[in-house]
Amino acid sequence: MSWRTVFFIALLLSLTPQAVAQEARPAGKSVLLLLPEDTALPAMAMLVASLRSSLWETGDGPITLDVESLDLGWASGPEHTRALRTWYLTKYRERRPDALITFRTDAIQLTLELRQELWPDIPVIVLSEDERLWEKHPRPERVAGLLLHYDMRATAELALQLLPDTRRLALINGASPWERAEQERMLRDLRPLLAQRGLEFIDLTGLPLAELLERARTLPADTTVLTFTFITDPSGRPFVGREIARMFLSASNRPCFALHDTVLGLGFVGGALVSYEAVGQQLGLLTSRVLRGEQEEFLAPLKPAPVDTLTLDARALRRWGIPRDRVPPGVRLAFDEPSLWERYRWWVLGALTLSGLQALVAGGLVVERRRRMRAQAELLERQRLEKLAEMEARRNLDQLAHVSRVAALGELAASLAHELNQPLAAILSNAQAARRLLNTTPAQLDEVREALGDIISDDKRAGEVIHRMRALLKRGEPRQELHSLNDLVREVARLLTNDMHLRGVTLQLALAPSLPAVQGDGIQLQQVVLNLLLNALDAMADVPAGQRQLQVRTASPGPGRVELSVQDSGGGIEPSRLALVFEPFYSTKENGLGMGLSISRSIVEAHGGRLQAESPPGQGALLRFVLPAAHTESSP
Amino acid sequence: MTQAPATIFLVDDDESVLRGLGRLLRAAGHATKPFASPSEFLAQLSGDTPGCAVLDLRMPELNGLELQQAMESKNCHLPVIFISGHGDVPASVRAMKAGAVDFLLKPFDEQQLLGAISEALHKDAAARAGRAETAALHARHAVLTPREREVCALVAQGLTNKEVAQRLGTTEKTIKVHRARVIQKLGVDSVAELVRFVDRLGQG
Repeated sequence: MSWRTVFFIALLLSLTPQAVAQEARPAGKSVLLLLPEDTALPAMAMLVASLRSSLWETGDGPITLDVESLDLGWASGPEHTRALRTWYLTKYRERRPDALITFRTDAIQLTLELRQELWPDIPVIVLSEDERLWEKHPRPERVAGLLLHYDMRATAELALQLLPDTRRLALINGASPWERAEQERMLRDLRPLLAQRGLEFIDLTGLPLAELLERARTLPADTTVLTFTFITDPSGRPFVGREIARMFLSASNRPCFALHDTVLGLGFVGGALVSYEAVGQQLGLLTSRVLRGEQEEFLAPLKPAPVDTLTLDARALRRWGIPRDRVPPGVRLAFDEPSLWERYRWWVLGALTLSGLQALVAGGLVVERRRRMRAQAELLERQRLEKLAEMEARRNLDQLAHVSRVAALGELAASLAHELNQPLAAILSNAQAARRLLNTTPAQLDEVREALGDIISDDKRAGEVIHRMRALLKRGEPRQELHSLNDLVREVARLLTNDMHLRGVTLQLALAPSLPAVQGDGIQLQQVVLNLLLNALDAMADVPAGQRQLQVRTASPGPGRVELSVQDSGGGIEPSRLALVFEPFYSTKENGLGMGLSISRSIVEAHGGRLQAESPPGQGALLRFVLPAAHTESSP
Repeated sequence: MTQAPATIFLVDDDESVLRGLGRLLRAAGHATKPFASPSEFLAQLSGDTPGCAVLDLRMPELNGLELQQAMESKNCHLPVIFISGHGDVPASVRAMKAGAVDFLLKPFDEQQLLGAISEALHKDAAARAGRAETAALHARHAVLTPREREVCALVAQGLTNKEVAQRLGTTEKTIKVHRARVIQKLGVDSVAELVRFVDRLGQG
């Protein structure tokens, strides 16, 4: 070959990359799989592996499978679509796919859009969970498909057969748009069953992770739990299925059923489990036929694929004490083999006898060590996840606390405006007096000096009001610092002085002369004090003027503990309502939000303490919290 | 009528406001008396001092409106100017209805305050003059005998001597004598002036 020929061929190559690519790999076809979510999700990983092997087994030659994740759980919109288009165009210029595979309604939609712009003539194979997919949009050309059904109804019926005492069905599901849409479909399936059996439905869907786990811990005794997925919680945080499944399995006090076989063995009792291995095989088969040029599939675009089997975990049955005879015929039992020990007991015994005591000890140690390491790893993992949930709960509390602080200061707005206007009035009068005094002859300089002194102290007084207000309005990361409870109480009392003055309330501060320090977020602790004092003031609105007395004391009720109590001289709290006052949205005030005490209790508990309400007969309400003292030498 | 100079009474429970206010008014040439509480002020109140009162609207023991009523009941007619740190519309309406001269929101400008005070002092002087005049009229009227008062009232109503005589069951001649005495005792020149005198007496 001459130089020129080489150059000419190179030129040709660069001009028609597609044709040349096909020539270079005459039998090698390539398929692009567009996944809706993270490839790390176990279901996705299983499906990809199974699809790949199915394509290799059924295809006429090696088929390349490229996998891309559309990440729809946390990205969407025209910008995202545009970016994907540019990226795929660049990446697949040299290796134009021969077919696209995708699943889930949202991913199907996006894939069809992308095909329209990138490779309008290649076929698309879809797997849809929505039998009415083509009702909303007419089926485009060259689209083949399979129908995947998550059979919640069959799962629920299986659960009811195993647990006939069930009176309540709880459903766990995530909050992403797709999960919500799926939930509607499943409820449509479940509703007749609920009505027919007279079951109560407990909706655990779309909750933040921490709340979900909390609810799962305290389900009533006759509840059975159905789970779907938990890809995203309402804050939009994405999760990975197996870890989440482990978390709510360890939280749940009731047996749980699932719809995915990838979580089998974690502790779920079972269900109509979709096998992603089977899904991958079916998709592979269909794709191979499409690639071979068969046309008939395009005519029947959605065929149900047999991909789920009623499956139960024998170990979970043992754990929940479900008798074997309740298992309906035809249900697959997983993990139903005798353990290694049961199967090979005599062999092992014989071997042990032969190898002697030393081998036994050594082997035992190895097993023990391995078990301990596994237990440790599991413990670490559980601790990590619990910590995550705890952090989230804490973040929610901080946000709520800030909102409620702003609301509390709103109640004080009139009184704070008054408190600012007083020094401002004095400043203005003094300044104008000083101007007049300078104009007299002789100028009254001593009086001017006094006026200026008053101006300075009034300015400081106004500044302090603003400083106290801003401190409480501040929203920042909660801080862990040492505080004197007495100082915190004094600050809040100063902020309220004017309000109490105008309401005709007498404040008695009885602060312990020496208290250990407490550790935590000063602003939040002040907020608790503020809430307690404001509540007390409101409680005394109906008491005749002159009898409105507020007692605030601090004490150290025992070593390492610090206490604050607030007692008003109002009508007290009815004993039946004592437990209710901490409930969110419970308020005795006509325009109260009902969050103050609930948030205060959360704050106190987050600081390791307890907040209680009492109503001693014949006296007003007594609110009291106890906090652990910080580990440090006492401070006054 | 006393000859004491006009005094501005200041009542505010906020000491620094009280001090600043007093300083400003003194610099503007007024005599002031500051009180840090309504009860102190009420205790010092003497019947008829000329001047006006500047009252804080919201004080712990007695609010400004209640203080205004207490002043009335102690027969103290000082014109009142209210000052307040709140934009409290209902209270200001009540204050104005109860006869306050002005209602100022803290912080207020010296022009507002001095304007209101000069208005109040004028009002006080006018009211005081009116009260003095009415007192003089009453003093003169008190000299009349009961019969002369009857004649005076009927003549002022526009009745003729004859009609008055008929009403009182006496002769026209007797009435003429009474009428002449009434005119002389009251120091008026004509029946027309007599009518005006009775009018003012009625209003006072």
